[in-house]
Amino acid sequence: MMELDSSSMKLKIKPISYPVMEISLKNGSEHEDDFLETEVTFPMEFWLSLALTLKGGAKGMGAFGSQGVMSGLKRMSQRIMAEIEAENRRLKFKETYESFTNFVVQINSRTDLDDVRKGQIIHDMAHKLKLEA
Amino acid sequence: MWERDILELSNLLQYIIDQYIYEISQYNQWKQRTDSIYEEKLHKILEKLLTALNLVSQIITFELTLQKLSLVDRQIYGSLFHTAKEILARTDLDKIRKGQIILDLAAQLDFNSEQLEEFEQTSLERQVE
Repeated sequence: MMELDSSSMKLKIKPISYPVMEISLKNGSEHEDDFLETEVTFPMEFWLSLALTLKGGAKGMGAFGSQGVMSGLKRMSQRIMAEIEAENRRLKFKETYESFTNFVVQINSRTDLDDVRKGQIIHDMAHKLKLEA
Repeated sequence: MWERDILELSNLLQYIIDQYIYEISQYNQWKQRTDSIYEEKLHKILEKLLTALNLVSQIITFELTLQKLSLVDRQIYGSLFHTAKEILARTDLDKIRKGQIILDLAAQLDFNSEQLEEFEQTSLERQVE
């Protein structure tokens, strides 16, 4: 969160929503509805830089830093890196993932199979697809 | 591997029946024979019997382990399906993300299949005459 005079900007970073971040802007005026919430897509470089900054921050805290904060920063950095990698795979195998979801939806709607059999079919199909990242 | 074992066991049992059970049925004739040929033959039959019993024991163990793994698989498949169902119901994820999560999850379950393959490869490796 960043405040300037009476204006403020809040940036919500959720690795799961990569590459999108939520931004809330509030103007310093007295009107309560003078408020904007939007989603902005940030480039991979920005996220990468953020992950590295978080990792560096955790290292820089040294021996006297809070273990909880340090591990939190590290975990956040790792999550971002994992999401970047996952997004790359999504871009590469977009159609496969999409058709796999359609397949799971179809299996889910079948009434002639029990849950175990459905799970086995889904597993077998995933095994067949075996994507190379 | 499996069919070969059953066939081998069947051949061994047939051999024992032909060579041992038949002669036992002709007990008087059997009793009179005390020569070395008889002893040699008896020794060979006992060896075959031992091999057959070992084979039966291994097949039973194999079956039990298969059953255990199958039970584990049933639980895993069931929970995979329930998780997949929950992911499908999520509204904050698009189709591509849903597919990726389910696929990655299913890929993590491969350890059990590998375990099963490894078991099949190693457990029945033995020297059978």
